[in-house]
This record gives sequence, structure tokens and C-alpha cells, in this order.
Amino acid sequence: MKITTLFASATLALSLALGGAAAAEGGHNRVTLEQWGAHNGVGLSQNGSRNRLSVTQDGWRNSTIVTQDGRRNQTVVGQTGYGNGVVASQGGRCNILGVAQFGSGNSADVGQSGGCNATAVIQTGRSGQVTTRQAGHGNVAVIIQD
Amino acid sequence: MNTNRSPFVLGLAALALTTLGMAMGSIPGAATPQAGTPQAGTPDRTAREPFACAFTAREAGGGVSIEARLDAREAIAGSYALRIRASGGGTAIDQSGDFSAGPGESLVLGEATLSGRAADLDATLTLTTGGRTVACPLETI
Repeated sequence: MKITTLFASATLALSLALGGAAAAEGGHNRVTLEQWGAHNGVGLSQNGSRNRLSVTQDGWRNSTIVTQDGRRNQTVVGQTGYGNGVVASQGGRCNILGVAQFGSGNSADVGQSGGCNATAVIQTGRSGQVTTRQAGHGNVAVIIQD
Repeated sequence: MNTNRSPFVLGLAALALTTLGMAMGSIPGAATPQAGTPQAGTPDRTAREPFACAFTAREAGGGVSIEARLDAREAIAGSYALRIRASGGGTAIDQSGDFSAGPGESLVLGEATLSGRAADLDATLTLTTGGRTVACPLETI
């Protein structure tokens, strides 16, 4: 848990540097964030269970860092345009993460632990790359690259 | 390249796809775990084990779905490691963790679907139980 906390702190610090940050605790939180144009950024951290997060980044350098703690959280990230990015990490069981990246840098480095988790990543255009690490059993990973 | 598609909508599509996969529980038509059916010429390393593993790759629709299953002959507990790498680098999937199963119980240890062909993937599944590690052969369907 220490590592998770450190990671959350680091992501928030990084997000502040990038521009944009959000933190929500207690569970059942819903955050929707849209960024259009220019440098983008974002870094989020949700604590508790059954949180929902959606991030849309359209245009230029993109990036997104997500950390969710607890179980049954859901995250959707959509990115178009240049740098792309996304690093995510979900803790606990039965979390769901969907990432769609279109155009240029791409990448995505997911996480998830505890089992019963699901990850889907769709990437088109340019550099691609995906890394997922899922712990526990009964996890599902779907990677579509074009 | 067409970037007019809404990334959020497609992200939702990815989410729906994953949720559907989870709801389905397993890949339709996937092979039943069998103790003695590794690839031709490959010795069955689980025939004497308290379990059988079914490690299958099924090609469909321009992609390949990999499923790692365990069929326990008797009560066992251990850990597994599923490692998938796409040729050319980039895509990497690692799934691992502990499991326990009762006699006759089947477990889906992990599932993954990727673009491309089975031949372009390097996939390994190892099970560790009772201090021993067994590699399960991948069967392409």
C-alpha cells in the first residue's frame, strides 16, 4: 500500500507539473474531464470503490495518469492527436479500464491487481506500444492495434 | 488517418467489449482442458500432475485470443504466470497470481486478445504448485 500511496503522490505531483489534477476519495465518485487542444496533461487519483472516471483528450501532447484504489472502479480514456500517453493503475478486484488512442505517439502502461479485472486498449496510427500487468486470476486483457 | 472518431465513444466501445468478454466468462468453443493433448511430439508434462492445463490460442477476425485454464484433478493451490509478447516488441501482457481449486474444479486463470496471428506471439504459461513449476504447452486452435 505504501507503494500505491507513493505512486499516487508521484502522479499527482507530475500532474500538477503537466497541468490539471483531480483527487476523489470515499468511493462512488464520478469524474469527467475533457481537454481540447494544446499541451493537455491530467493526473487523477480516486480512492475507494465503484468510482468512475472518463478522460477525453483531443489534440497535441496528451498524457493522462490515473490511479484508482479499491474495487469495481471504471475508467475510460480517449485520446487523439499527437503525444498520447496514459499510465493507469487500479487496485483491488474487478476494475475495468478502457483506453482508445488515435494518432501519433500512443503508448499506455496499464496495471490492475487483485483478479477479475479487465483492460481493453485500442491503438491506431503510429508508435503503438502497450504494457499490461494484471495480478490475481480471472483477468481479461484485450489489445487491438492497427 | 481518420481522427474524426470520438475517442470517448471508442473508449466506451473498448469498455463494452471488455465487459462483454467478462460477462461471457470464457471464449466460446475454447478447448476443454485435457491432460494429454499437447502439440504433436510434445511430451505431456501435466499427465501426472494433480491438474491439467489448457493453454489455447484461437485465431479469429484478424486477432488471436489466448486463454489459460486449469482443470484440477484434486485439491491444489499454487500460482501461475502468463506471459505474452508480440513479435517486434511493443505489446506485452503479463498476468500472474495465486489460485486454489477443489477436485474437479476448472479455473480461468487469464485471458487476452490481441491483434495479429498466433505465430507472431511468444506466449508462455507456467504453473507452480507444491514447489514445482510446470510449463503448459500452447495449443493453437
